Amino acid sequence: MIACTSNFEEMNTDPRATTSISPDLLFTGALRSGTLNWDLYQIGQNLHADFYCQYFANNAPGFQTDRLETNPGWLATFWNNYYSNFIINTQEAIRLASPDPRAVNKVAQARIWRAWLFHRLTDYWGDVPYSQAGQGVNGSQTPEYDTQESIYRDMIEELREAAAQLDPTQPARYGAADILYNDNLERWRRFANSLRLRLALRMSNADPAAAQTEVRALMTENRFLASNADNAQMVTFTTGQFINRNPLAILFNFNEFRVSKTMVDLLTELNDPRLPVYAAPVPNSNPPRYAGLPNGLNAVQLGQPANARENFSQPGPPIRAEGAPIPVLMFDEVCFLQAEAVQRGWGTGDARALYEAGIRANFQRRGLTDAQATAYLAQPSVQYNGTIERIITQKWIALYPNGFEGWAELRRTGFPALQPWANPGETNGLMPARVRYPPSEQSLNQANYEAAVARQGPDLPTTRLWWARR
Amino acid sequence: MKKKLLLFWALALGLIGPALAQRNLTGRVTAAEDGAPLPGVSILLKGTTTGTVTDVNGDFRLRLPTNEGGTLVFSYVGYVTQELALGAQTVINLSLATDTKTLREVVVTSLGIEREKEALGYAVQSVKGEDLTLAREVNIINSLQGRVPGMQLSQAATGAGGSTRIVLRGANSLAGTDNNALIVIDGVPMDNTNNRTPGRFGGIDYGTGASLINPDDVERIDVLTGPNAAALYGERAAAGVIMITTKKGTQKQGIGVQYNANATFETPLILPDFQNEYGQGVGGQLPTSTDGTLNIPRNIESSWGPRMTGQSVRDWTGQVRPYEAQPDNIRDFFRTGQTYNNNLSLNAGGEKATFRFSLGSMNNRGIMPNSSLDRLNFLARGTAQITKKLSVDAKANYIRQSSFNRPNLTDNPDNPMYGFIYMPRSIRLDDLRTFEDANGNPVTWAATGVDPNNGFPTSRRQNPFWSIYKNTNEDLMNRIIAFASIKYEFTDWLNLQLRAGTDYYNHRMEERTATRTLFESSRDRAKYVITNHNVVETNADVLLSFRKKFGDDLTVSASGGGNIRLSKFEEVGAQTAGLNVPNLFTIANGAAPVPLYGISERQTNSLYASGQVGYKDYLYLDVSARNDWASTLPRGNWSYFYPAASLSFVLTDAIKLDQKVLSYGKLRASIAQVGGAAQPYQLALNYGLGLPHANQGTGAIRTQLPNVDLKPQITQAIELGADLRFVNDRFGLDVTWYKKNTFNQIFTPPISATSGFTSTVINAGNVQNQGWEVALRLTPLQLESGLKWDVQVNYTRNRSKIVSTGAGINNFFIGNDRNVTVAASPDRPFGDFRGRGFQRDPEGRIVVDAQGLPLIATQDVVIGNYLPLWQGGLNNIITWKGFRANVLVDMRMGGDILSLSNIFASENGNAAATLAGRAEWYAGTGGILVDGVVANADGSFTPNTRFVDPEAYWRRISTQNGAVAEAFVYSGTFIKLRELTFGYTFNKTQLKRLPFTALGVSIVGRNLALLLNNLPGFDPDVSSYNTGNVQGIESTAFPSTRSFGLNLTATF
Repeated sequence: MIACTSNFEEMNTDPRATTSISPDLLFTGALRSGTLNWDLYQIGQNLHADFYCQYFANNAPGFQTDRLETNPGWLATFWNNYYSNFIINTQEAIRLASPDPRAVNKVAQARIWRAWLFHRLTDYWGDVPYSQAGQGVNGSQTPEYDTQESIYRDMIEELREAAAQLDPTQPARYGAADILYNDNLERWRRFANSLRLRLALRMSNADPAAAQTEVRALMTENRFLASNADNAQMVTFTTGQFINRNPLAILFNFNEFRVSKTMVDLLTELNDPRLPVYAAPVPNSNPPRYAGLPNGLNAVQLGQPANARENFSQPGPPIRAEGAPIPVLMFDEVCFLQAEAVQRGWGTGDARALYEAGIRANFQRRGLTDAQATAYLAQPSVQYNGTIERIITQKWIALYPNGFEGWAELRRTGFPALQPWANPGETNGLMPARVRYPPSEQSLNQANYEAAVARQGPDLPTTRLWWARR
Repeated sequence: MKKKLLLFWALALGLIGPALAQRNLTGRVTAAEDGAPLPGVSILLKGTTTGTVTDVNGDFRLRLPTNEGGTLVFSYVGYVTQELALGAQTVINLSLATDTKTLREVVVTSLGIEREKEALGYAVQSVKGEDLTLAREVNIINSLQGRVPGMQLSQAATGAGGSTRIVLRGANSLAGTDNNALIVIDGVPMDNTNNRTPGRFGGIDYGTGASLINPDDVERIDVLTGPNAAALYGERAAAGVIMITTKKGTQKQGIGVQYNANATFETPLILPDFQNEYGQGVGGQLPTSTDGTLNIPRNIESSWGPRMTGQSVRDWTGQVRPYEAQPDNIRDFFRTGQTYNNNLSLNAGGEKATFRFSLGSMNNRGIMPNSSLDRLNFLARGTAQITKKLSVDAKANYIRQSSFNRPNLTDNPDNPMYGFIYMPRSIRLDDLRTFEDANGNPVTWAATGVDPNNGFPTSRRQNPFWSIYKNTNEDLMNRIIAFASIKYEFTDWLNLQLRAGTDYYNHRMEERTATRTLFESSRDRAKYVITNHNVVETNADVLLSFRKKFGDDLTVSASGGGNIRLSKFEEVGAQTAGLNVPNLFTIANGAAPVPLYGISERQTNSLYASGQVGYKDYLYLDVSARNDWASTLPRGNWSYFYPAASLSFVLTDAIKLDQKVLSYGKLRASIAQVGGAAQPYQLALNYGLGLPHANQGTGAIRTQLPNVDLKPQITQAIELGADLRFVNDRFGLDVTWYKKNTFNQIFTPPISATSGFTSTVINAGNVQNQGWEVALRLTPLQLESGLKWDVQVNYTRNRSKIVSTGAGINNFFIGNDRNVTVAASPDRPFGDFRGRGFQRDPEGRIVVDAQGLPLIATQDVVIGNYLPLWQGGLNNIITWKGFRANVLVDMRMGGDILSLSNIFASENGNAAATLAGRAEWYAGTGGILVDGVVANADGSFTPNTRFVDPEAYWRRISTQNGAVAEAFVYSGTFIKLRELTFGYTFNKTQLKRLPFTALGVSIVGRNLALLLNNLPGFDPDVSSYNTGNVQGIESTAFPSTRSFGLNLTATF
């Protein structure tokens, strides 16, 4: 009786969990978590990329990232969630869907999503575990780091293969579990191509030949997002849990950042009608006045009355609205990418028309009229002038508040010109080139970490990424 | 003597029935020292089995079979046995003298078995009920503080219902879930887990099971500090066992009624060490508004303003008033706490049965306004001798504890202390007493933002009155602790006991965040959580015991049995961010309700055996063995065996020595092993389910990589000890040396997340604890007049060493808070603090930048360790006639504390330490000159000569998340006046005309003073977190309290 153990295995089975699961649940989870719940949006995106590209500036005295100092804890949390949630669950969806040939679309969509996830990751850190990542069960618990170059090549290859794999005749589909495109495979294909275009152009300095080949092929196929209806964006809601809401709506409540001086000054200078969309008036200003907060203020400076929170603009209501979607990859960006491709001579088309289409599409999704866009475009300071700077500057404005892409393109192109940071931090007052690896990698994956650092350069925010070399 | 004790118990149980009597004797037995009646004295007609015991009044009645003479033997534990030749008398009044050498002390050991202390090969520390009830701690465990060598208690300063971490002989386990001692009541384990542990961002300490025990029901507590003592309790005994024995009814005439009343009053012992010279402001200045008045901008959340000299300023209320320090704006928030205890017990017993009934109530109003804790304890215990061979013993204890508004802990605006740490020194507390304005918005001194959705103000700086009057919590615990056992005596040397015990409770907790709470982030800024915990710990065991004497010299006892332990925790609840109808706290009113569910279930089956051989009453050998089958381990590994052995040698019984020199001497040695199992559900790869989005369910793989081949962990311990008494027991020394290693630890180290998992569960590591426990007993003074002074000294020295954390793990992460990580590293003691230090040159001098401000190192280094070097207690007991005075002082040497409050209060200029250099800086004559060096371009260093603004200095080294933690690590050394009691017990003569049979009054003071403290403004002795492995971090800690009380005990 005492040694009776017949019920032990059942008792030790967690009733809250399952050992077998549908890939649909994992894919839905990875789509939502990969577009960031508020907490990771804050520590992953808002406190890093959004400051580094000067969309926003920090006014919480205790937060150091805007003054260009590292917070290892935030980076570690972001990194850990990236791998142990977004990436592994996407890979698990691929693994679980793969044996069934009728579920080929599930595999393809998850592969596209995996590439989207990884490009943000490598754009932050550079070399990261990629080919051996997420294989703790049967593979390595200490994956090797892949070079950013090889990751980019493989992501482009993955996107090409996955797009080709999409097959509307196959019946086993995610259906409504596809919360990005609701089972619209054509849009997935266009999303894959648009993302590939983003990635290919990112290599424009590091490997112009390969970039050109890839861009040309894409421009020839010309199967990109074609209107705002095709936008890849994560829907959010005004009701439900925090996870269901626009992260910026929640972060806004923390009262810890403001629209940057860089953004407000540029929009003001360009008479940009997006200013009241992007920023809220300074409280109690009549007529409404907009003021951006300088980046990089330290705790003492933030304590000065002149730098009080009340003196600066919050994000505008449409940006911080509870049900506002989270941008993944938007039609207007694709227009700017195509404009750049044509401008570089890497595809045929009308660069000016594409540039203007980007601005018009952006105005449209910001709730502005085409007439406003026309008037805006008539200004010499906005008119297409055949320079990369003009295209990227307008793209930087259009991408707001997607700091991941804003910061990446700044690092690739140097545009637009940012305002100086108020403190030198760890980068001598310059825009960071990357973020440091989380300290846990130095202890938990030491040899591979050291190999990556030896290859890529010191683990500092000033070390340039492969694609940012000029 | 042993025989005599056995017989005593036999008599107490009424085994020996009345025979035909021819002669009746009556009388009373009293104590020689004070004339107090002695209940339970064994009286035996020598050479026969005829006898009785005295009742609660010391009275006895004995029928003798014949009228012939004979000798009566009066014996009682702790007193010198007296023999009395019978004459013709029928009334015998006798007094027994105290036996100063209480050699045959009985202690309670594993499975509730009473054993003579001298036969034990390991250390047991006993504390008697009186010491515990006199102390009048609501949580009885806290009254052990300073009294038991080898024990380290960390109390959370969370009011009467808070939890206490009990660590015996150092933390064994990296996992942190099983370092707390096991609590056993009357032989049955209770659940003492802390089911909801506060973290760094707040939470409520709902206490643990031990805090619910009614001190008035406790007879004694025996602490088995080592695993050696407790191998028979299985895995949880590796952390030591606290054996609590509750009172039973005693055989007596009539019904004994005892009433105990007690009132204690509490005030804060220590409050933050803040400056009172500079007020709200920055840069030593305040701006002037258009009307010429000095103005305090509300967004300034610091005390870096000008010196407060009563100048007129417009403050946050809009009023123009003197700018003055508010030195008591924290103290005035608190009230005098009050605790009332009332306990009534009835006690009855005959030859066949005894019964005890106890009703206790405890009503506490803590120092935090708008809070209460009320506890009702109902206990019934009965024993019965059904037949000559069959006896039963059963107990039911019902506990109901309801609590309103327990303090919120740590870094959370609902913790009033958090509010005060950030509140500038010129804020008037009275301005905040109205915490809600006419529009229903919170009133706060700080600047607020505006929630665009509804215009509600937002801020992290909440009015502390809103924290306690609007954001309330409430919990109700209903608990039953019960057991029943039957015992069958086959013969006088063989018996069988069957026992089942359970500890079952339902704990309902509600936490409410009011609509429009400044810091809450839901749409209407409200939140509501309700949870129900259903917890059961059930143990059923069987024990066959054998005891027989062979010849004159050899005693053999053996027992064998088995146990089934079932333990289940289930949490059912719901929470909602936001409410539809404001401040209507019910889940049905939730804007976004989510269900909460948690479960943990396990079973352990065990078989065990133990045996003892005693030779000539001075040499004893004990062996024991146990095999467990644990449900949380995989098939193939779930069965594991472990043995223990101990040896005791009573030197003074073996060799005749001069009593005046060495009156008693015992040497002991022991070795033991204890196996341990895992937490449930760690073996299989699982997918969990997440919240839905866009009406679609989500799932995710668990982030802990399972281990299908998990093995039991093993604790091995050895101990050597000596119990020596000198000069007729005037001086006693009990010394134990021990070493304990826990191998193959089951813990969950982090792995690189790039593997897809953030942690795994493994068997690895080896944590060693080695140390000394010393108990010194001294009677420096003992006079004929009855004046006696006893001194008890306890000393604990534990050295922890992480022998290994497993391959590839250099810093095992135990926990973290702002600016600090608590880690375990090989060759270091448990509980290192890792954090930022100053940047230093090769000679170790602080490097400053061109402005003269210190530079901060970029890598974390070890900046401290929370383990103390040693701890000690010094207890003085002075008795004279009916008076008894007790002074207990305890102390801790070493053990670092990182004070986050001091970091926060330094950044905002509240801390007293931030005064230095301010006047000079504002006058342009100085400031802070960092004792450091400036780095030159050529790599050399020159001494710093630049004065800096104290505000800039403190803001540099004490930012909320980037502080130089090194500068805020303080030694935890303290000396505390722990307890002061003074009491008087009336003697029989005094009580003659009163309706009492016993009466005592006493005054009690607890935690009266910190005689030595290095931690500015906080009590180094209390924990901001509670029972986990993260210790030594002070985070906006709630003040500990001192208490004074009055105690009355009356027996009718």
